[in-house]
Amino acid sequence: MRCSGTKELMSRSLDGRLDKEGEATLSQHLAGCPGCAKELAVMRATSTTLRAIGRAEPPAGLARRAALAALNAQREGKTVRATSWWSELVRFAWPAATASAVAAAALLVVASGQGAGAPELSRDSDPAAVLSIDRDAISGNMMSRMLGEEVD
Amino acid sequence: MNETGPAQSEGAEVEALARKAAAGDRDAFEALVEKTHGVVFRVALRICGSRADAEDVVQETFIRAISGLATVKDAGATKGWLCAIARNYATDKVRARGRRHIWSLDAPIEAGSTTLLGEAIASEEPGAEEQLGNQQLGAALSEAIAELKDKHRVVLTLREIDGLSYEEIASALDISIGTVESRLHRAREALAKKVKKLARELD
Repeated sequence: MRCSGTKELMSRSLDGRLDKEGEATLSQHLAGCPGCAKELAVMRATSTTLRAIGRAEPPAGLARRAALAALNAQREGKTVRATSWWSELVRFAWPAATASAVAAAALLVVASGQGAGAPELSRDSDPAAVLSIDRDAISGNMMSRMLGEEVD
Repeated sequence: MNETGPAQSEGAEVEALARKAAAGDRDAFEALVEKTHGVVFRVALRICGSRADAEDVVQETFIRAISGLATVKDAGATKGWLCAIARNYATDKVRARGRRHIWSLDAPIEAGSTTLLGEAIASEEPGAEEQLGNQQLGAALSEAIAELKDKHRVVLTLREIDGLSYEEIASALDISIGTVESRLHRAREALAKKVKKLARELD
């Protein structure tokens, strides 16, 4: 096995995610390759040092503050959408002509107050329902793009 | 390796709270925040590299989420959805600062914890053990992590420091287990090279 092929095995071995066959392949390579053996030692030592830092904990009271801020914002009608997903839908999935129609429909919805602010936690405030868009038809990757996540 | 019992049970609890919160149950919303803000905080912290920014992201995430909970059809995916909101906001924050943004490990590397690392480097760089102090090694490691590619650094720190499982990282970042694996091994490989290089420069 070439050195380049062992890096992923080393990483999985550090996390205990390598099966017996993989461990045997790795051991066999390391026995004949001092360079990779030393590299694994550095990786293992780095891992040990980082794990000693310990999990980051949020400050006490943050959950309470965040919940109250969200509930207050909702009561005051100051909440914002997690993502303006319908506009992203227009950008990624729909042809321009349809986009214009949706935008116009959305403006009408907002103007009539049905889509603005989402004052209550209710399915009625879902623009998908208002605009008769089938959310189930949106793929996982599409939702990812709507949420701005890179897709590998 | 799939989620274990406790993880599944926590997932079911978050799902139940999300359903109640979506129906307007204020107590359930508060409990949902309590239950999920830890992972949201860690994801934000590893993207922003600052506790103050991470706290701000947590607060903004739940403000953004409260109006959208009812639109999440799969309540079981609530935690991932919250993390997605946090990732977006945290990434926007970092982008807005551009080159002025400074990522920090935001946690001290205790001098005593680098002994093994010093020995490992010394085996590669004869003589380095005498030249490098533990504090220098800690500084070299912090700097090396800060220099990693963003996508590698986030996965590495969530795994190594925060102890998230591959499954938890995949869910929090909306990537596959295979992508978690490949980013981790690339991050570790790059980090090992950088640590050795920076340690040489620091001596």
